[in-house]
Amino acid sequence: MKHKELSPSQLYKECDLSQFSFETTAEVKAIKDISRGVGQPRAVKALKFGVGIRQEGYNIYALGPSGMGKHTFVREYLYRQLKDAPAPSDYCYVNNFETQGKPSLLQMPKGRGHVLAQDMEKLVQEVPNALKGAFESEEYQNRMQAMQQEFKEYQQSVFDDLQKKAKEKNLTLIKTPTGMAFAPLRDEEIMPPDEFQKLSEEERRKIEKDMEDMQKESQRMFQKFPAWQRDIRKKINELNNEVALYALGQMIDDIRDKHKDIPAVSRYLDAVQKDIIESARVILESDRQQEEGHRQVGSGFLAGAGGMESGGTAQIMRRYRVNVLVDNSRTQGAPVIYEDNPTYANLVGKVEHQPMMGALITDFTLIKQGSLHKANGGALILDAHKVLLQPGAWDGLKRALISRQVKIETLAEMFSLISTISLDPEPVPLDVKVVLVGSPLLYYLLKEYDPEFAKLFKVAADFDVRMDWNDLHQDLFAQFMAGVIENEELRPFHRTGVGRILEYSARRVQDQKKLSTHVQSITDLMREADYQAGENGHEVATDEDVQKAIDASVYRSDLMRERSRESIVRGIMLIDTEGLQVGQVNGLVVISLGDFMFGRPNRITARVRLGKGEVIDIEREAKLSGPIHSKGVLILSGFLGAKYASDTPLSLSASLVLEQSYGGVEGDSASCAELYCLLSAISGIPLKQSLAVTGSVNQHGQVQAIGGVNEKIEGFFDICREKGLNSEQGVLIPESNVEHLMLRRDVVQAVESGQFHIYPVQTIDQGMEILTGLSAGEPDERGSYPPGTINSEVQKRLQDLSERRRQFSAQNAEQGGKS
Amino acid sequence: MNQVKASFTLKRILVPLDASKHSMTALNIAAELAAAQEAELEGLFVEDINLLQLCEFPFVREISVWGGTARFIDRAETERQLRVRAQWLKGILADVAKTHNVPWRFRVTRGGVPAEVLAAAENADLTILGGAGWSMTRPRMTGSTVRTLVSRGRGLTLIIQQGMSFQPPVQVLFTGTELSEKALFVALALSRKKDLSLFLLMLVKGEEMQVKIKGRIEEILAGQSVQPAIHVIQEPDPGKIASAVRSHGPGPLFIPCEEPRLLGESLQELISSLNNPVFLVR
Repeated sequence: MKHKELSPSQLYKECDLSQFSFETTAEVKAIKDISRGVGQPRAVKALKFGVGIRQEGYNIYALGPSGMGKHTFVREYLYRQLKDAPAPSDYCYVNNFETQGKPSLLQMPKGRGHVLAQDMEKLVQEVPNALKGAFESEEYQNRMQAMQQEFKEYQQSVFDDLQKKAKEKNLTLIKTPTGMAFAPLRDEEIMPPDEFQKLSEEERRKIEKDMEDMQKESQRMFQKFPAWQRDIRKKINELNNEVALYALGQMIDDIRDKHKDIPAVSRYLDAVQKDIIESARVILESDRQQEEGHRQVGSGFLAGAGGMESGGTAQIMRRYRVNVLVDNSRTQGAPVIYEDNPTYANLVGKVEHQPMMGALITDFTLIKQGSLHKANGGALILDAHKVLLQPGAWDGLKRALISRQVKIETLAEMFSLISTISLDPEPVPLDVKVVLVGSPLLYYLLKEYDPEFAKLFKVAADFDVRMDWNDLHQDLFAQFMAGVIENEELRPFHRTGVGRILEYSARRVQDQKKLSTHVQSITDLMREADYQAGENGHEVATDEDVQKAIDASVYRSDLMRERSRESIVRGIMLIDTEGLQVGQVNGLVVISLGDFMFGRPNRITARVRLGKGEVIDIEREAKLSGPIHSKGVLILSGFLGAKYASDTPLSLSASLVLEQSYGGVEGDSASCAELYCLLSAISGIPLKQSLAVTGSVNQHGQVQAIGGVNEKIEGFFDICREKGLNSEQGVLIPESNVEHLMLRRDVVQAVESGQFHIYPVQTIDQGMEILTGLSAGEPDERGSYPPGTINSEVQKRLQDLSERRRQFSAQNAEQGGKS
Repeated sequence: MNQVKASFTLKRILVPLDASKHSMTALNIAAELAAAQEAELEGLFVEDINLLQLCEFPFVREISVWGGTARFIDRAETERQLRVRAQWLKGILADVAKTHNVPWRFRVTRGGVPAEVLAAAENADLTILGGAGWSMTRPRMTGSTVRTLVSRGRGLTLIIQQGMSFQPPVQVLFTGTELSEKALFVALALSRKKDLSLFLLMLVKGEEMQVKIKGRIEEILAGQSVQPAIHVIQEPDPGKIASAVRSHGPGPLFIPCEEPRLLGESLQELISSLNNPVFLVR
């Protein structure tokens, strides 16, 4: 009987070059911005939504296989979307004068951060000189000395008063090493003790009383001294404040005026002013010591390594500097940042330390930004895999997104591993859109196992590996190619070259109706075709150059395929391409080596004997079979039992194996072949070895689609060609795989010339008919098949086995009863 | 007229030390002069016997200036405190002498402070005192030790207050006597060493005496590079003298101690009213 086979036109879709309005890509308007969306409507919509929605938790995960151009796509899309967005604020860290160790944050309009920093730097340079001038002025010295003199005079007046009163009582006041005491006088000299003893008791008592009175009087006066001293100190402080304010007030007012639109800066400047005034004497003293130090050992001695001054005024004045953490003065629109090394510190920032005399010291000027800071107000693009690989980076990122602020702390601090006192900078409020770029596997794993991921990354931008092959996409593809040509400075492509690349793209996704969106591979092919064109002396790359590039690429990768082919041709691996065999068929397998895939035939055999109805999958028994392959064998077992032994027990024991396969097998694309083989073994009807089979079967005997159909067909074709085509060879494929065919030109030509055949199959019966040349047979109302048909032979054999088993069982029972 | 040798040498400079700021100024000035004259520096600390005896009065209390608390004075503790102070002053003397690279020695005596200083001054070529010591006197009023040396001391005595230094001009009270000529020579030597200008306050009455004294001055200064300015004062009135001295500047004043009207309280009063270092030449 004649079965339908595929025509050459069904084996390959050729690009209709008449659809192109250009001769070469030089005439085509290039798409340089990949984010315009060549075939990624879903991803573009998702990105647009994710970027546009302002609520929390709508960060984006761009998923798709690598090589899709996701990074470039996302980056360029975000640049375009955010270039007109308002630029974000600058952020600066300044010293916290109230609480040491907790630097304060200043948020300022874009570009104002470094202006303030410059103003403060100038202040830092000028303040010591200004203070020096003020505090060394004659007016200050006079006032200071007058105040100091005031206390001395008060003190002196007290002493004078006491001395006068003492003299009236014939006593005198004398200084002791730690205070003062009253002594009795005699003839204006201090009375020695022995003279005192000679006095009358009344005189002694009077002197004692007088001295006691004077002691009390002096105590009462001296008790007032501390209050007076406090008063004087207060006056001196007020004087110092007044002078310091005079010295620096104008400078600070100028800065305040310049930034008067920022209240936080005003408050900061108030604190600076207050601190400088309070520290004026310390600053001057340091300045003086620094000058002496320079004089003694030369300048530069006091400057520490790495710019952290080790002492003197510079060290004190350092605290009035401004650390511009984020400077957006040159940022146009909202920032789009790609962090290619997403360590924890690179993401959230860090506080650096500098060694000084055996210790590590730091201050707010050593706080460094992370990429979250840089991207604040805009978008941050991260590679998901890299983030997950870095210790603490994923947790740190989530923490920042959940808390909506960036807190700079070390990993050890985050995990409470240490309690060393360090800086605790004020957190930076965070408003950023994070876009993670990664594989679908990572996305689904995170979604399944990390509950926070689902809360934070609600938007999935799914990048499809394929797009419809229609006129619109065809034109877009050409424009995309023109963009690549411009970017990469390649030769223009002739329309034939463009067409060939489109066909390659369809072959890549194994679908006549689809084009691949795998940017990397298309770009690589274009580069290689350009190279070939150069080798061939072509000004313009043609289909011939593209084909050469494809062939060269395949050749670079197909060493294993060649070896495999050689082993078959040399008979090391047993494959028949002609003749008939019972219980043996050519199955087809695909071997993946990275990004290169090839197919080859693999002999499948089946043996049958009397048994209890099991079909043994030797691969599974030897633990060389994956679960999907095992499932396929179980399915065909189910079909066998249901079709031929629904009323009677299945009394066979069958074994199936992929001969000479030692590396493990997975997938159910060989289940059709295995079933054909089994039916052949049961019925004893031989199968054509000139044909190879691929396809998956369900329990109803329907043939289902499989993957790698092109490689499998080509693999068998190559063997047949090597051994010699005899016009009878071919491949049985599932009908549902026909649209997936984009076969090599030589295969198509062989089919064209009748040297090779491709048979689409929908049912097992069809397949058996092609493989045996016999009719499968239809069951009558009693379920019996017409004699001489394949099904009839299978049924007959199974019934025979069933009867034998019954007899055997009865015999056994009889023998068992007799003994 | 007698020719007095125009030379001035010092071998030993005595500085009584009591840790007051005035005595510290005196010490630094003494070290400068010792270095210039290659003299030895002698520091003297006197353990005040009056203070020690005061400890024997059971009813005497020491009043602290920090808050006015009163406590019993213990002799042993007082002696210990005095020893500590002596050691401290010795250390300061050693540092100052080392800085100026002069030989030095330090003595501790026990007794009445003025008497001990007076006795020690007998053996010194120059005694330098701070104007007011620890006694409870007003600034610019001289302490008891200074008063004793002013009234009873011999030789050369310099009285100096805290913050004073040798600035121009050097001033000499010149009466034409041998003592005043000695004072002039000493002042000349100082002005040369310190490169200071010289001013003469001629204390004479009558024009004839003035001419005579001027002639004598010219004789003395013949061949000298210094040509002093001369201010004539008719009366040895401390107030007028002080006024003239102040008008010329804060430089050191040399006073020959012989004019009867410029001895005793008058001299004390003059010294107290000046902001200048005062050399008493006897």
